[in-house]
Amino acid sequence: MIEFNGKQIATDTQGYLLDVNDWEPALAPIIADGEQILLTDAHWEVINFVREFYLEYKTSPAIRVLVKAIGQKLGPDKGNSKYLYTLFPIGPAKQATKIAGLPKPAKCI
Amino acid sequence: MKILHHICSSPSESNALACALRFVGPKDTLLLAGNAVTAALLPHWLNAMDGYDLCLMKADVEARGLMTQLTRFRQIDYAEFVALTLTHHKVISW
Amino acid sequence: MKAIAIIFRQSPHGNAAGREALDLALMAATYEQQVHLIFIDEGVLNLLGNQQPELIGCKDYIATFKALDLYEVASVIVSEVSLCGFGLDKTALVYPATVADDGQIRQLLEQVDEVLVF
Repeated sequence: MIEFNGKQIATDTQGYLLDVNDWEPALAPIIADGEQILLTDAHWEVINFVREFYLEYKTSPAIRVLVKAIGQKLGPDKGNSKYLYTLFPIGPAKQATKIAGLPKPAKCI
Repeated sequence: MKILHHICSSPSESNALACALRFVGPKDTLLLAGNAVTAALLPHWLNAMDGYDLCLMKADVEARGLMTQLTRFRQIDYAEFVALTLTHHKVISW
Repeated sequence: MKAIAIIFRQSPHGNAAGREALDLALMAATYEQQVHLIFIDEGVLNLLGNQQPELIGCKDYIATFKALDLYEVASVIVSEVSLCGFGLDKTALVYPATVADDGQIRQLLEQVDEVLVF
């Protein structure tokens, strides 16, 4: 559960939103705070990417797919694990999807 | 290439047998188990299975009281099932 | 690495078979297995575009088929006989699957290490 603008937003026990439609950009820094991440433009680029990926394919991308898809769209300097782990140290697939208001990826590898 | 086709549902329950018969090869074996044993009572399906090596799970036949009706078909126990999986290149459970 | 064929033979949304088959396919592909998806009989209906499963309370896993290339699956095969049986052709599909006859599908079933049917 997250308190936001006087609303209660339902999450699972690990903090992932239960309904993707509850998310709005202003919520991202609050979720990111819980992950001890201060959002920069570089973070936002990935967050927007995973959210668009989810809305198109209805699934949260696993890390291998995330790396590949980001490489295709944003170039090889960003489509690699090292870059993504710099932004999201615990795990890009786990953390970027959480901050983007998406369900936890079933395949966290 | 010998494939063992393991079918577990009757033709009225699912398209399992119909699908297996679309891809069965001349050296394959059809094994009817569970409710699939009833397919061996039906002329339409017997016709479709004609010419293929066919066997039934004995326990499933006996459990359903179909011993006399299905006596002309080869019936196998669980140990023979395992042996069959070893004499075929792969098993497809439809 | 193993070559795995995953067969979709049932209609979508009536039960969990299609979604489970796709989950397995993506999981296996993520683990770098060689994954082949084969759509036969009513299973071809999984690939139809314009589906809105959320209207009947089902998860829209159909949209995920569009991401198959990103998961690097080895092949996506749809049965010509089954497509024609429903009066459909390739243009109705959400993913550009390879149309194959039953003989070609049999060959693939022989080539792979494991065949899993949903």
